[in-house]
Amino acid sequence: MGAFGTFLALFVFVQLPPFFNSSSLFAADGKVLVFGRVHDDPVRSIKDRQEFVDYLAAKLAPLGFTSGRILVVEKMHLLAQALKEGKVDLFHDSLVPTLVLSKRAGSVPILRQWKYGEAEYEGIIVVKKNGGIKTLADLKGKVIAFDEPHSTSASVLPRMLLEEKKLRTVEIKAPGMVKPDVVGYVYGTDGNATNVLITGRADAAATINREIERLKPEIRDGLQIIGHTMSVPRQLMAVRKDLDPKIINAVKEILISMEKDPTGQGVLTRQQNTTKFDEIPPGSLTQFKSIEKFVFSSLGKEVDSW
Amino acid sequence: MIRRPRLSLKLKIFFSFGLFYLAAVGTITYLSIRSQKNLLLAQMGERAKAGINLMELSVSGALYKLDTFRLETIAREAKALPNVDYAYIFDNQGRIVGDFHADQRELFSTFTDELGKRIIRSNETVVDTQERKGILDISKPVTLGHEKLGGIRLGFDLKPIEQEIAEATYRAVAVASAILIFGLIVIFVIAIRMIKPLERLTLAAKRIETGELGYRVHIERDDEIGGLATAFDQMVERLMLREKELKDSQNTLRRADRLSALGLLTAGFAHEIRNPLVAIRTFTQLLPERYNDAEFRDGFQKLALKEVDRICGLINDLLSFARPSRPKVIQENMNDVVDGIVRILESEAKEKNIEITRDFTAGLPMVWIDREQMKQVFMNLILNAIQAMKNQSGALSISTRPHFKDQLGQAGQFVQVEIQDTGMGIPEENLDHIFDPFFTNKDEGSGLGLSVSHQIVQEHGGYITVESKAGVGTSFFVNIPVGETARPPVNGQASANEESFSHR
Repeated sequence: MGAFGTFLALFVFVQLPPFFNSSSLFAADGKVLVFGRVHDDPVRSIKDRQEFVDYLAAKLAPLGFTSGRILVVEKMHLLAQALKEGKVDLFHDSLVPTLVLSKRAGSVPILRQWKYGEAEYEGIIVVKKNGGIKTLADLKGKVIAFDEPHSTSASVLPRMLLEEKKLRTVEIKAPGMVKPDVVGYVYGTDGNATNVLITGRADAAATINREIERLKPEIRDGLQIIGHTMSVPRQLMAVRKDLDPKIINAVKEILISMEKDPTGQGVLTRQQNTTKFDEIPPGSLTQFKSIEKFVFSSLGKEVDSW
Repeated sequence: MIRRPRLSLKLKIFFSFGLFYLAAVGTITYLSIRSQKNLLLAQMGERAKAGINLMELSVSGALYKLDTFRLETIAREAKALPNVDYAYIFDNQGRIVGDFHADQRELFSTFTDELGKRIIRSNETVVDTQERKGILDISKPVTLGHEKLGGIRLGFDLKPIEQEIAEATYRAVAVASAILIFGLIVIFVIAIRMIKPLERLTLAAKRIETGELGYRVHIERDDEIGGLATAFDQMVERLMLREKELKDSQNTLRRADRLSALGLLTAGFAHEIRNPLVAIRTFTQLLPERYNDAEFRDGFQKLALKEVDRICGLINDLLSFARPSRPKVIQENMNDVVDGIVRILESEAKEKNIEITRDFTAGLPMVWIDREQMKQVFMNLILNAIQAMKNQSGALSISTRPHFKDQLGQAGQFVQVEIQDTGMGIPEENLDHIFDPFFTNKDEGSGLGLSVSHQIVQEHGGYITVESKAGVGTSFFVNIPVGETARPPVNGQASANEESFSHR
């Protein structure tokens, strides 16, 4: 079969969302609560969340749900498509992906998700203490490492911060190619932008405090924070736009009361150290609008590739 | 007579234990090999499970995303694992999406074999050992969350395992053979050790059967065989005592029989002695008057000497019959023995007007006999014949001849002595009882004579037969075997008993 077979395989399968090719181990009767997730590691994504989705589906049994499934896609536009087609009922993510999906699929953020005991968090820009960079302005002609492009705290918000400081960012493909009037940037992968800085492949890194605290003291002490982004919700839970309001209300009620349920508490803790869910503060919406504007105006077509 | 067994006890024990041992060793070896085989297969199964579990970790994500490039790579990498014969990854429709073949020839096809169809439907790990094909097929469904994404199917080549099993089998068979040979040797030795005392007991029984009552087994063991041997020795001890008592009784009977015979002879014998003594007395009375008669003196001397010699001869014959003697089995001429006893009885017969005729065949073969015991036989038979004719004159014929049949009519070599009388005969109804002890139909006599005679002849390996016709007469035939093989045992114990009896 060789190359032709491989091509045929790609043609057949890549066009079809994997979700539609899987079969449930549960009985086919009844409604299935489908939870969406954008990630390149479906195994980890599903294993981390299956218990949470099962809990939720079980609590929604009075509304006819019999099981919960997780759809993992690698790209945000695929999740947007699934949301629009009603194939995914809800998802959670950090602020920026949530805003992007709201814009594209009409999904609605319904709750704020606390993690590690924090309702909100901020992005920071760190440099080496002895690197000669003291302020954000010193980053001109230097290279900064971001996490994944759609990362709220370690990519979008730091870029937004630099823009606000009138520092133009330009993606670079090789070291030494940064013009003196711009800030060059490279992408690391999930959570490793700091590593790029430490190993000398960048002059600064966008990250969060939590990542810095994980480092060994001797390394951590050699770093210096030169910028803080705005503080945003840790994570948001959102539902597709046409989800039955009864279900939305039920979901909100279940999630908010989870912290009071001993079983629910355990599920929350095991679900990426979630502390609780609560209502999104009303004042956040203005903030969300400004970030959304930056994403779609400043990042432009880059967002399409997420 | 102890019949020789077709299969000796030793061999029976050896074969019985040997077969049991063979079966035991064979069974243990078989179970050991089977266990080893199962263990090796189980080990391979475990390794296969571990391998497929490990593989599942990398397959899940790729299968979820249907990343056929990745699945193909994983399948090929799996094929590189030790002993893996084939490797497939299939989706939840049963289509092969990861093919180990370099040319991907089976991509998107489905399993056509029954096992493959079962694997696709199964939600469990399936391990199927196909010994005929030499393949261990293992498959596992791949699930993520609650979704069954497909599965993995691996085939492990059993040849290395079969090689190991074969080597293990050879080793087990070699060890079992060594154990078997050693065990059979041990069993054989044990069988010999077990049977040896029994053989000694058998030998002892045979020797005791031939009269060697002094033989003892003397087996010093603390087990049942030792007990049996001790009991055997004690039994023989008691048998010897009984034998001695029996011999004593026999000797007593024989002694009584002899004395009885002597009593019967007394009258005739006294008459035989009185006549010469009267003649000698008459001559002695006349001797003073005719002392100068030389002719008378010479005649008297000759007559007296002759009569005294005759009396001495008679007394010697009588003494030799009456005196207890040591058993002495030597080669004798039967004619001499019979003639000696006839001489003693001639006067008794003459007194009863019975004529004794001798018809001895010359040149008879010598026979091994105890002369004195045999004389007692003929004494009894001739006296019986004389008594059977006591109220009438008659004829007593004594003849000897060779005889060539034994008691059962089989060929044999005997010297036969016939004592034939013309007496009243024996009633037919008594013929079966005449050799019973104390059986008699006479007014005088102990009833022991024929019994003792029969016993003595039997001890010499011979036999007595009788032919009788009422009113015509009776013939006794005494048959004594010829040759040293028929030589009767010398019973030293009996000799001592008889000696001691004579001195009481």
